[in-house]
Amino acid sequence: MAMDGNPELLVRVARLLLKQLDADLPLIRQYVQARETQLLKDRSHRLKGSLSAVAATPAFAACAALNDLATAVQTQCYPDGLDRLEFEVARLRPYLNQLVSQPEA
Amino acid sequence: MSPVDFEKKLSVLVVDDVEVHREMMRTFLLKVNPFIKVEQASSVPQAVDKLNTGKFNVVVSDWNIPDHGGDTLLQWMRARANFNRVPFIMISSNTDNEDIIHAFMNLGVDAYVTKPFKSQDLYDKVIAAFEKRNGLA
Repeated sequence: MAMDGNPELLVRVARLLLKQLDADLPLIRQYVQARETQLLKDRSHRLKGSLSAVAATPAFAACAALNDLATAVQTQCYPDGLDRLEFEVARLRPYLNQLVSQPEA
Repeated sequence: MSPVDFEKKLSVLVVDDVEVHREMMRTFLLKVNPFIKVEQASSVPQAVDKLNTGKFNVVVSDWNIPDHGGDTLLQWMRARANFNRVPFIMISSNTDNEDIIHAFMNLGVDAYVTKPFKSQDLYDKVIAAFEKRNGLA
């Protein structure tokens, strides 16, 4: 979903996404380590949806790839998929932080 | 009462496990109609609780919710006399026609919206489904 030309919504969504990243990434790491395929699939699906909302294309693609790995039960590839996601989220975070640091309208 | 009055009084239940999506749908609907009442549920069990305790004119639900999907909620609603005529709008990121046709033919979906969408797209579907179900179209 696009933000429909609504900058306030973009800031609210950025705030929600940062909160979700803080909650979901540690769980995703845990599921990758434990090869918890179903939990990894569900959690990465949820995060993928949020990343698509802010048009965070590289992070979305990394999350979608990890979700695909879980769907295909490619357990040996989970760590690489996670590394890619972590890398893209680290690149995304400064932009999100910049957005939420703007004063609310 | 005119359709415009109905629109102002509409109460919509938005169901999605992703908070970002719920917030966006709420904002989209309120942008077009500031009089609309929007409640949110993050899961099918929570949606069932809300339906049992509140009064909603339309349900807008993501189709791919982990554990219990939107189809589970729709089947639950259609099996109950008090909810079987409440319009159900299916939100999907999947453009697979088979899913959509199955939902229309077998499950009683009133309309679908494919992500990404704009506020007016969503609102128009909500109003059209509500008016059709209530003989206003």
